[in-house]
Amino acid sequence: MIRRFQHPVAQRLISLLLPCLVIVLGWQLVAELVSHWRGVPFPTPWTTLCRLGELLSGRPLTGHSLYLHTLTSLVRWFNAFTLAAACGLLFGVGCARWWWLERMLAPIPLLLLLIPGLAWIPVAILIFGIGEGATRFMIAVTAFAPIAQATLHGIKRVDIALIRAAQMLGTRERALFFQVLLPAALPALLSGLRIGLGNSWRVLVAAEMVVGTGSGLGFSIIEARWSLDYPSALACILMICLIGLLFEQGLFRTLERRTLERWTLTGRRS
Amino acid sequence: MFHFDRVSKQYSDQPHVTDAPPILSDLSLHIPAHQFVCVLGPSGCGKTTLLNLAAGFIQPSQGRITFARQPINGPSPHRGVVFQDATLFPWLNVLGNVLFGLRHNGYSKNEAKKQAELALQQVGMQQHAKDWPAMLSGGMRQRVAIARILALKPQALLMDEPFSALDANSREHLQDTLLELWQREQHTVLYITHSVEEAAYLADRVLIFGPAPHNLHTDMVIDMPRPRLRSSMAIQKLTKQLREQLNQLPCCLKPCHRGEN
Repeated sequence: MIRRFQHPVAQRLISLLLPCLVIVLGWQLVAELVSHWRGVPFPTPWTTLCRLGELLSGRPLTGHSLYLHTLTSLVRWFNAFTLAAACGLLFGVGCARWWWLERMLAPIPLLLLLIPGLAWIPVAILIFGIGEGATRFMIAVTAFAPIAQATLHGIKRVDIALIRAAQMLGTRERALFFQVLLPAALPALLSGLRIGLGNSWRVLVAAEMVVGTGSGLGFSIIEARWSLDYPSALACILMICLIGLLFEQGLFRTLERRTLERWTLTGRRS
Repeated sequence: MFHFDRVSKQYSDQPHVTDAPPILSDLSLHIPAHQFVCVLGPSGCGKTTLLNLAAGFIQPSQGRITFARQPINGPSPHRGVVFQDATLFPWLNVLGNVLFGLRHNGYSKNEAKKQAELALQQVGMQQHAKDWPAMLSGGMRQRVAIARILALKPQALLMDEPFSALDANSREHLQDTLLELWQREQHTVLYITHSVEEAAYLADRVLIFGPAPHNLHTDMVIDMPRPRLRSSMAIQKLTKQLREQLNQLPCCLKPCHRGEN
C-alpha cells in the first residue's frame, strides 16, 4: 500500500503520520479502558491536545506559562549538556591520544554507563543541595559517559589503512590526529552526542521532578499530578516528546545527513 | 633502489619472544631503479609483509632495508603506496584528497592546486575533481589513489593488489594507465598480485614467493619488448611457465601473524 506513493514528500508524510496514528489510537484505547475499568478520567489525546493549546495560548501552569517552563528546562539542559559534551570530547580525545591516560581513565565512562540517571539524586543533593546545581549535575553526568565512550572508541577504531595512507602521504603526528583521526571518528562522535542528548533530556525531566526547582517541564508534570490536573501533565509530556524529537530528528539527523551520508560511512544505500 | 639485506620478519605480541614462526626469513633482494617488479605467490607467505616493510609501515625483526642507500625508518611520500581498497578520505572530495598530501609536504596553495590538477589529468580524472569518493566506482577511486601519490612525485610505487577488486574491463584500463605513467616517469614499482596474467603483462621481473624459510622461490627476469599484447603467444607461454612455478607451492598457508591489515 505504501509502495504506491512514490513521491518522496508523500512517502515522508506517510512514514510520519502512520506511527502517529498508531500512537493516538493506542492512547485512546488505554484512556477508554482506564476510564471504564477504574472509573477515573484518563485524558484522551483530544483533551490533552486541547489543554496543550490552552497552555500554549497563555494559561498559567503552577504559576508560570508553559513557555517559561520550557525555556527554563531548555536553558538548564543546554548549559549542562554543553559542559558534558566538552568534557566528554576532551576525555575521549585525551585518552585516544595518550595511552597512559587511557590506561588510567578508560573504565570511568564504562562504570558511569552502568549507573541509572536517577541513582545520582542522593549524590547530587549531597554535593549541591536541592536546586539548580543538582539538576545540572545529573544532566551532565548522564550525558558525559556516552559522549566520552563514543569519542574514545571512534578514534581508536579508525581503519589502520586510512592512517597508513595518511602517513605515507607525509602527514606528521599532530596533523594526523586532527586531520585524519578526528574526521574519521566523526560518525561515532555524532552518535555519542545523540545518545548523550537523549539520555540527558530524559534525566532532566526526572531530575526536575525530584530535585524540584520551582519551574521546568518535569517540575510541572509532578506539580500537575499533585493537583490532579492530569491533562496538563500529559500536555507537558507531549511537549517533552516534541522537543526531544526536534533535537534528535531536526538537529542531529540533519547533521548526519549533511556530512555522513554524503561520504557514506553510515550506509543509506537504496 | 630497494635493498633487502638478510631480512626476517615475525609477528608476535611480545617483541622479545623469538620463537614465533617467521613470515619472512633471511630474505636478501635487490630491486634496481626503474624496474617493474611483480610479486606472485600463495596467500600468507609474506608478500604484503614485504610491501609493508618497503613502505616503512612495519620494521624488520632482523636485517636491514635501504631505499636509495638510506635506511627505511617509516612511511614517506618518496614511496607512494596504493592499497587494495582505495583508502581515500571520505570527508574530502577528489581534489581535496589529492591536495591532502601536497599540503602536508609544504607546497603553497596555488602550487598544490596546479600539481593536483595535473595528477588528476594524468589518470583521466580531471572531470571528477569536485566529486566525493563515495560517488565514484572502484576503478575511479583507484585512479584517484594513484593520482594522489603521483602528485608527490614519488621515486617508487608500492602496490598491494591494487586492481584485484575491480571488474576485468576497468582492471585492464588501469593496467595500461599505470604502464603509461611508469614508462613516462620511470618509477621503481613493487607490485603484489594474485594474477599470473597481470604479472606476465606488466612485469620486468617476477618474484614468486613461497613460505619461509625459503621465501624467494623464483626470481625471473622478463625481457619481453613493450608494448605487449595480452593475447600474444609469448604472454601465454610466460603465463604457463609462471603457473607451473606457482603450482609447486602449497595453495594457501595458515596465517601465522597478527597485527597485519
